[in-house]
Amino acid sequence: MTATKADARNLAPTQRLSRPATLQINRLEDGCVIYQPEQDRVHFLNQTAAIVLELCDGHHDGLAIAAQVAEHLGPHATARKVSCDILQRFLAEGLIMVAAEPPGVTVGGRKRPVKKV
Amino acid sequence: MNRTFSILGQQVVVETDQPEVGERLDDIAVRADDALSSDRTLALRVVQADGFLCILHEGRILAQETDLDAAIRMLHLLINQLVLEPQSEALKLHAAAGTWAGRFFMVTGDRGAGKTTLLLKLMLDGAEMHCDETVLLRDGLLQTFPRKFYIKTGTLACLPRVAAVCAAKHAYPGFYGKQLYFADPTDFGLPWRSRAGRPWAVFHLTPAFDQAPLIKPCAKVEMAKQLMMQTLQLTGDLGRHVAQVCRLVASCKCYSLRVGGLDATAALLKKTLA
Repeated sequence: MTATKADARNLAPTQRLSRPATLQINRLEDGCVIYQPEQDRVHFLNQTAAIVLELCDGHHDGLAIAAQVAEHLGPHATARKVSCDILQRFLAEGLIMVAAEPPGVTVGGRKRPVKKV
Repeated sequence: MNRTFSILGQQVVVETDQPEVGERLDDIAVRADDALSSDRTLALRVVQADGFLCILHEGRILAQETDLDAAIRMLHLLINQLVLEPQSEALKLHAAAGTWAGRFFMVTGDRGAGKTTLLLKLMLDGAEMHCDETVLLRDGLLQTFPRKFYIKTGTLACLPRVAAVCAAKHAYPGFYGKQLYFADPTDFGLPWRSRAGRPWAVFHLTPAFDQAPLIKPCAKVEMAKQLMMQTLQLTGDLGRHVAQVCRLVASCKCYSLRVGGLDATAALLKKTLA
C-alpha cells in the first residue's frame, strides 16, 4: 500500500492511517515495544497507544480509531483528544502515515466522495 | 605456577612466573559449577617486563600495570571479557540472579540500587545466589554469568557475616573510588552454581533506603524499558535485543521493588517468592 507523509498538525479525522511494514512490533499484555529500523529507535507504548497503533492498518481513520479508544478508556474519558494526541505523536515519530485511499472506500461510517477526472 | 578454572564451560588457564601474582590468582578464580561444556580454552600469561606486569593472550600484550592490585583486577576484567566473546548472540544484561524456594528470579536496577547486598542477605538466609552483575539472555532464557561478586564497603556494615569473610580477603581498588572484595558463595561454605532457564519473576530495584520497602506489580512494557536500559551492549541488532527482552518479560512476573531497610526488604522479597 502506498502512503503519504502528513503534517501532524493537519491530520484530518477522516484520513485512513497505516504503519510502515518495517516496524517490528513486540506485543505485551499491557502495551507493546516497537523497534523502528529506519531510525534505529525503540518506542515503548502503553495499552492505549498500542491499540491506536494496531488500528493504523490502512483500514481505519482517525474517527474510527477514536471510537475504539473510547471503548477502551470508557465513556467519560476524553478519548478523541487522547487518540488525536497519540496519532499526532506517531506521525511526528514516523510510526504511522496517511494511507493512500482506494476510490469509494467506506471509512469512519461514511462513503468518501470519489474524485472524478 | 598456574591456575585453571572453568567459566560457562570454557577452560581458563592463567600462567605466571611471578609468585606474588600466583598467590592472588585464587582471589579471582571462579569456582562455579555449570552444566555447560566447550572445547574453548582461554590461556593467559602474566609476566614481568620493564617494570610492568604484562597480561598476555595468544602472544599479544593485552594490558600492563605497574601495581599488583591493578594487574589482578585487570586480569579479572579481561578474563570475563574474553569468556563472553563467543556469546555474541546473547544479550548481556546488568542484573543479579538467585533462587529462593525453588523459584529462579532476576533482580535488575541501576548501580547502587542494592542488588548485591540484597542478594547476599537472601543467600545468608538460605537462597542460592548465582550472580550479582551479568546475565545472558538468549531465546527468552537466562543464563547466569558467574563473575566473582563485587562486595563494596557499604555492604560490610549491613552484613556482619560478609564483613567477617571479607576481613580475611584482600581489598582491591574499586572502579568508582571505593574498595571492593571479590567473593562468591563458596567463601560462605555454600554451593555456587550457574543456572539457565526462564525466571519466575524479574524485580526492578529502586533505592529508597530510608523508607519502608514496597513491592508492586510492574507493567511489562515498563519492565522491558528498564531492562533495555540495563543492557551491557549497544552493538548488534537492536531489534533482536528488543525482541529478546520482550520475550523474557512476557513469560515471567514483573515487579517493582522499592528497596528500604535491608531486613524488611529481604523479608518482602522472600514473601513474594514463596
